[in-house]
Amino acid sequence: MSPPRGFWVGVELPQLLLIPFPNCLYLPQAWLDTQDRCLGHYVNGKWLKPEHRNSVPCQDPITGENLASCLQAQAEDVAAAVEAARTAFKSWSAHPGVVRAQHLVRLAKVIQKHQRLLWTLESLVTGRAVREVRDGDVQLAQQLLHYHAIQASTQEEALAGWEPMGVIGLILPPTFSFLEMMWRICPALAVGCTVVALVPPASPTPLLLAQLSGELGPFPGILNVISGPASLVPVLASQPGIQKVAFCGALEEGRALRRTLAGECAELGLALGTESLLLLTDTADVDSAVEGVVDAAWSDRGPGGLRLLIQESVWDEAMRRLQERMGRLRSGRGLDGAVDMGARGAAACDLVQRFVREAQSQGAQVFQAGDVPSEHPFYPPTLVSNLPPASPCARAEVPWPVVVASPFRTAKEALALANGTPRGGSASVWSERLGQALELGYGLQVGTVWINAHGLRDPSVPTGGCKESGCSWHGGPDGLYEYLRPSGTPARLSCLSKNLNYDTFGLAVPSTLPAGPEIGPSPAPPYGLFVGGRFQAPGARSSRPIQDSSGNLHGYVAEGGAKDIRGAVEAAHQAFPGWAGQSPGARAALLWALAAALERRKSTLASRLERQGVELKAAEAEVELSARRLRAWGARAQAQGHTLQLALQTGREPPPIWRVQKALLQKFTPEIKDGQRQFCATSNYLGYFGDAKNRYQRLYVKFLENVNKKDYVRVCARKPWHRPPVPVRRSGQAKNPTSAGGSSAPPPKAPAPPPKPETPEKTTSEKPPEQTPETAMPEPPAPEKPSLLRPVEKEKEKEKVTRGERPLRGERAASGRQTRPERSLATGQPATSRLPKARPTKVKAEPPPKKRKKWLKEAGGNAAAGGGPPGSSSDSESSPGAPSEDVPTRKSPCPFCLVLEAQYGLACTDLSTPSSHLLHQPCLFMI
Amino acid sequence: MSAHNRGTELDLSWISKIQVNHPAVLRRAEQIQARRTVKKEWQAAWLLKAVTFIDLTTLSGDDTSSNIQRLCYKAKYPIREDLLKALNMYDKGITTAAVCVYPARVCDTVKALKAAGCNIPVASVATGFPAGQTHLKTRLEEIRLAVEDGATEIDVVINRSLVLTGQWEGSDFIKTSTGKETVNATFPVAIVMLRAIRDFFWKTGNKIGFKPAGGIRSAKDSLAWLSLVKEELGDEWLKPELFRIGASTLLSDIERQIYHHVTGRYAAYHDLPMS
Repeated sequence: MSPPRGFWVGVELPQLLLIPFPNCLYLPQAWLDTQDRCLGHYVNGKWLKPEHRNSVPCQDPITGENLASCLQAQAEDVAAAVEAARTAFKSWSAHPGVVRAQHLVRLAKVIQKHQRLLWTLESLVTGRAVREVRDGDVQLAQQLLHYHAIQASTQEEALAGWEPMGVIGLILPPTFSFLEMMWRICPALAVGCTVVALVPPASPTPLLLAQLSGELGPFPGILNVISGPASLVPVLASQPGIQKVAFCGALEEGRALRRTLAGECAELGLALGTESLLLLTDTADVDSAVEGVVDAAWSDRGPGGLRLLIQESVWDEAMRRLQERMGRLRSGRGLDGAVDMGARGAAACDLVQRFVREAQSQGAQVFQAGDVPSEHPFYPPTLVSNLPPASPCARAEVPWPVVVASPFRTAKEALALANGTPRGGSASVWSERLGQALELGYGLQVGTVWINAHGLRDPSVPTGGCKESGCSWHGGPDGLYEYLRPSGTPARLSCLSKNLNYDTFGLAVPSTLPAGPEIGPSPAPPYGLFVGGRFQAPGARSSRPIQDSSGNLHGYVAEGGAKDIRGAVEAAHQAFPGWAGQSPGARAALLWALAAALERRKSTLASRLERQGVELKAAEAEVELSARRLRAWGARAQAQGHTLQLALQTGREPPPIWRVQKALLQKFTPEIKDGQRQFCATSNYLGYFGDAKNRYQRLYVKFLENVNKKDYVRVCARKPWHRPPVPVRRSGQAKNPTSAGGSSAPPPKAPAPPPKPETPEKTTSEKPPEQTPETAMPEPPAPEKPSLLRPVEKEKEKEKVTRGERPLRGERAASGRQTRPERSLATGQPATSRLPKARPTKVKAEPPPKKRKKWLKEAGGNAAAGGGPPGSSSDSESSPGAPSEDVPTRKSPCPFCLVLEAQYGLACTDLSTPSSHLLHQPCLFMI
Repeated sequence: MSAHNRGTELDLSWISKIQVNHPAVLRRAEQIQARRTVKKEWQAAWLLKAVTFIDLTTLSGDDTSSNIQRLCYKAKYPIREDLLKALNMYDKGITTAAVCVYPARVCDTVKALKAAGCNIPVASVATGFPAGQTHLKTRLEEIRLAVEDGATEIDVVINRSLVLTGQWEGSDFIKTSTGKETVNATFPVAIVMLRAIRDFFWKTGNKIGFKPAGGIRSAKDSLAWLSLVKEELGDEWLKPELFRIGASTLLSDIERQIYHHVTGRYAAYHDLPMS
């Protein structure tokens, strides 16, 4: 019997040592043995092991032990795979969505059956912590399959008018190849595309996945995986039949691919870079934010490093906690169940070593800690601070596992710093103040924003990047459209002009001579280039003759050059903010007006097309189709403004998206319809995560965001947010605590006068338009504290809120317009103190439904103990249960509602669990 | 027991500055149970370590000197002798951290422990356990009597009505709950408490102990609690002076797990001495 190891009783040396038993190695090695330790490609449901190919060893990144050899594909292997996918596409896309859905569900089940093999293999080969692969990747893979199975099964109705693109070429990076593959193949397969994936050599997990899929039966060729070097990327991309290339990897490679594919028929979706960002404000729960940093950079969840921006006032505290936490991190072999971080092989280690050395030479401070083996491929968690902002390292992408911390003073500066980088992947904002968090979330130019969480993924929420981080979306409805095109669109053809030199294009003035009389339409269409809303002469002041289908000179068009292109791009850039800021309705109206204009000129346009050699019928159909498209997209723009899409984060199970979404939409559609300023023009997604209990409170979020943008206020005062009628109780009436909550009397015909005492101009729903969002923005309610702490905070809270200023608004607050002392209502207390002023009669908390009891008690207690203004004494007298005289009683809403009430004169409807803080709310929504 | 908490000026600004993000804490609580799995010899070592943190507790209305005596014997010999011998840990003096009883049973306990020939501390719940809703005078008297009888540690139920109105009390140890509530020790609450302990230590240099109590029944749970303390506070808190687990049935499950580790079989309940 071996004695207990680790720590001895009485001896203070608790150590979690590396677990040396190789049991978990057995499975992946047994699988590799079935391939005789030689991995080929998996094409059309069969292993393809062509002869005379180079092979690359697949090594354990830590020990360097050879696990298997991987054959390197050549062009003919790629062609074979694409051919298989093309053949499979015919039958796969012809099947109804339900059949595809069944297949995806079966694949999910197969993954479930073989998950141990999957996670041990992935961890063994990549060196990542097995816990993250087991609890994260493999579970998410199944969720993705289930989610997309749902999408596939409703495809005919939900995605009518769209058809699958065809064969998709997928190019994967060496790290995270399995998960990245799942994010892309699931939507592609769901909508009816087939896939050829090119994985870097020595990535066996995608091959295993392809094998699992291929062995499922009737559709062997839908997923084909070949492994080969990066030089095969252009070969794959230019294979005939490939309609789209989805690339995931490094920035430079993506750029090169974009160049290669310019003008080719394959569309390109890019997801580049790995860095993410974390914004820690001074109102955050710092300990939890530190856990967020660990999740982002030191837990093998994310692929890259992290830029960390910390507000100056909490810098010391955050750094201390961060360093303390780093000391407890444990790095080691990925298959050890007790490590936080694994190792990612020699290349990643060299990269980070170089980065840290350079950062040090540029003046940065480097802090490293943690229980890390000293051998080569391991690298300790690293915190870099004091890096001069202009130094090359501060501009470069932060590699794994480095966190580069820098301070910021105000929220405005935080946004400037965060957006001052060419990358725009993902970011998280940590703040307990909802307004601030939302403001920062919207201001960040990144694809994905989490609030008070980092790195959470959900199949129903699209993730992607902007700026240099790419231009494609994965997951959710947007992920589906990546692999769809409108029905009837002809397959893309190469439009590359073989005899055009792109390096000199547009620079030299062409030599165009008069070529004879024009026989074009009369009157001739306006001459010039249409840029920025008007016709203007081309920079070269030169023209190009255009011939019609019979070879006659049709007319001259303006000859543009490089400068004209620049001018046009500039004009588009200038127009963007105005156009994006338009309401969805306005944009829809414009598109529809354009469609109507096209239809008015239908005959002219058709005859012109005819002159270019198109049959009259086809020409008319083309014009008609154009008008229809414009209408369809206009309608879409409008619909986008109407929908609030929500998904719940429910742990490991696939989330019940549809049910929730429907319920919410039913309940709140009128409200949403009237919200004029939506943010659908931006492609930012904002996520809230957590458990799935309180679903109404997410709508506070939505609501607040509209309030922040001020347009909404007037509308919602009349809309369903309006509270149900205030129950009036006469003296002597028996109190019934339960019936009060379910009161369903008809709403009052006019909005009830809200409790707005000292600002009479705001007491009605007609809010003056000059009320700016700055003054209008309510202070978010105080976060929920553990119950032990609650009573004491109220004094401080009161103090804090009266002098509190939000950093984001700091400068504007100085303009002197907002000087209302009690405008920040962080808890129920200030509002209760105001109620009596608004209503000279006694106002008192109505006997609450069960859930609300506790909160009410506190609110009442606060008012009593907090020594509110004299008027509030009536509150404490008329505590629930005491007889009341001729007083209209009202339900006491949550603190947030009190804020709304006080700020806007809005009343809110019955809401559950009022004491919870908004930001604690578990949701995840996208706008 | 560590050096007593010397106390500090009550500065309510510390409390008002605290931010706790509930979902983030829940996530952390979930992680902590998955990130530190220990197996085999390592698990055995951790389990033995956990034994030394246990406040072996009996808080039943029908406690008598006979079952107290049995409990005390179990506290002295928490793991079967042959198992410890097989682990080569027989001579390491493994006992539970304390025996925890009602004040009226303190006398019996002290006697029984003396008879067993050991100096395991006796902890007594006091002050109107578990509600604490008795007069201050009787509560103080209760403590005095328990100490007179030989209790060296007192688990005080604080006056929660005072706490809820912001009048704080100081302590050397904080407990998650009495163990008699419907919901007792949970990880999210513990995380918040442990972070508060750490902040207090950073601010004042006083180390406050931590005792989760109630609902910790399985050996696996106890390991999660150990790793939680280790992760949030560090190894210096992993000693009986600063960390206890209040439990009555946990010990038998730990013993079963160690039995399994030694013999490769699971023990029937009659294979192990009852407490």
